[in-house]
Amino acid sequence: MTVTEAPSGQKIRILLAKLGLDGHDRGIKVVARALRDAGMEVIYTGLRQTPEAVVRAAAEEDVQFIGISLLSGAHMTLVPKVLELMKKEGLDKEIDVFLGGIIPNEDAEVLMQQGVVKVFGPGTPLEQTAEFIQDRFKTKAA
Amino acid sequence: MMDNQTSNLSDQDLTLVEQFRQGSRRALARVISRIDNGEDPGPWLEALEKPGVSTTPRVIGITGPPGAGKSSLIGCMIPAIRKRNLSVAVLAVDPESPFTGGAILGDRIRMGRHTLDDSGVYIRSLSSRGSAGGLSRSTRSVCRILAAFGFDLILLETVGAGQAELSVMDAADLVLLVLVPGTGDSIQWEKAGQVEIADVFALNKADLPGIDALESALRSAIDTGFFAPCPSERDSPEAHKPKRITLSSAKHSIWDGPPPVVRTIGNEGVGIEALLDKLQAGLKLMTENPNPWRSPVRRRLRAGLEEEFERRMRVMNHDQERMEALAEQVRSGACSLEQAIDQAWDVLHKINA
Repeated sequence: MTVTEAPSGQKIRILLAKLGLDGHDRGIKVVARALRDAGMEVIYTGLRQTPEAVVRAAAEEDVQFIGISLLSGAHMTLVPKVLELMKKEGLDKEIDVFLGGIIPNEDAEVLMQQGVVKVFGPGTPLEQTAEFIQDRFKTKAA
Repeated sequence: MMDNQTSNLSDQDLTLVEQFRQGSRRALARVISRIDNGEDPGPWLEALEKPGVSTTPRVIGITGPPGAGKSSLIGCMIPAIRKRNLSVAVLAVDPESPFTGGAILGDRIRMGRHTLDDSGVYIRSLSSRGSAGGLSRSTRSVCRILAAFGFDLILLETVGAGQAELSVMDAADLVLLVLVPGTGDSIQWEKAGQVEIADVFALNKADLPGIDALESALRSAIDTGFFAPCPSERDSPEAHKPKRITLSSAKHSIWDGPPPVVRTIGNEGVGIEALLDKLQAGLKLMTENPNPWRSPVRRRLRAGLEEEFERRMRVMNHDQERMEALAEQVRSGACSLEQAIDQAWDVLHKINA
């Protein structure tokens, strides 16, 4: 996996979280390791996070990306809450939100219209995820 | 000199400075990122530090072997600290992958339970990127930034695995060493030099077997200045040789007597109040009866000098021609090694930024 050489020593920082009561964290841990191997700093905040906790952590840790994994079906309730809180804190222009897990296509479209940048469905190759993030980072840095 | 540094900040940066002064946590996070990314902290410190604040002892370094339960302990300490009406910032420094430079910073998980809606708590994860020297300097600067922002206490957590992590403790005013029973009878922490730097000891997971043996070995080492071999080592061939370890040797100790040892159970919150009492007592002693060896300013001076020396050494080492010329002089007998070192020293002296 390619390591990103960011300009002026800046590293890619991404927060990974699981929202709601879904207790399956193997997938997100695999993603965390893959992104670490791609040279990123991964702030892993663990299971059962609330939208408030995620947005607050993202602000404190000054990340460029948030990756949320949901397998419980609660995405249409929880993700808009995250987006709303980010707008309230003025973070929506600065931090990209990605989703992973089980998100039906129609819901994915709706959420992307609300501000989610990308939904990585199950089976997305890890390299693809890492490269997408690295490309987005270059665009944001420019 | 002062104006010179601040004028290195762009207009955008000055907006950030203003927001920081207004108490914006977002601005705080961004300034920390700038320093963490390797920017010269000088102009930021110049612009943000209030005189006197950053020299008040308030940084508690928390170290210990992996698996000691430091993060969980901190997770319990945070609400207890808040109950004492103090604001607290936590800096969690995690190791970085030596191959890719990436890191998984997961200490937040165990710490963040109590922090929602509480602006009296701030948690930040840093990875130990770059050289030991670089990490040390940026960690020290970030601690000063957190003090400037107004946090009463700063907890600096790092894994006490080696020299790099140990140098992070240069940023701490007071050092808490967290140990657990059963992590190797040979007690490697003694060799890593961590014991000498500790002001307070927390014996965590005190509900596990071996806790009594750990405490008595530690106390006896503290009391006698000798290392007491652990039960399983008594039969080893080395057991009869006393190893002199000076724990909290007199001139560096802040205490009038042996350093405190507190039993804790991080997962259950047992012993936390007693631990906080000792930590606060230590900081109070440092503030009111300052031991000149431990003053924050003395420490920064020393650390800064060491880093400056290392930086100049790196510049020297890069100068292949000169180094080779010196080496050749020694080989050929034109001068002695000591004379060559004197010459090199003259050059080192003249290297500047």
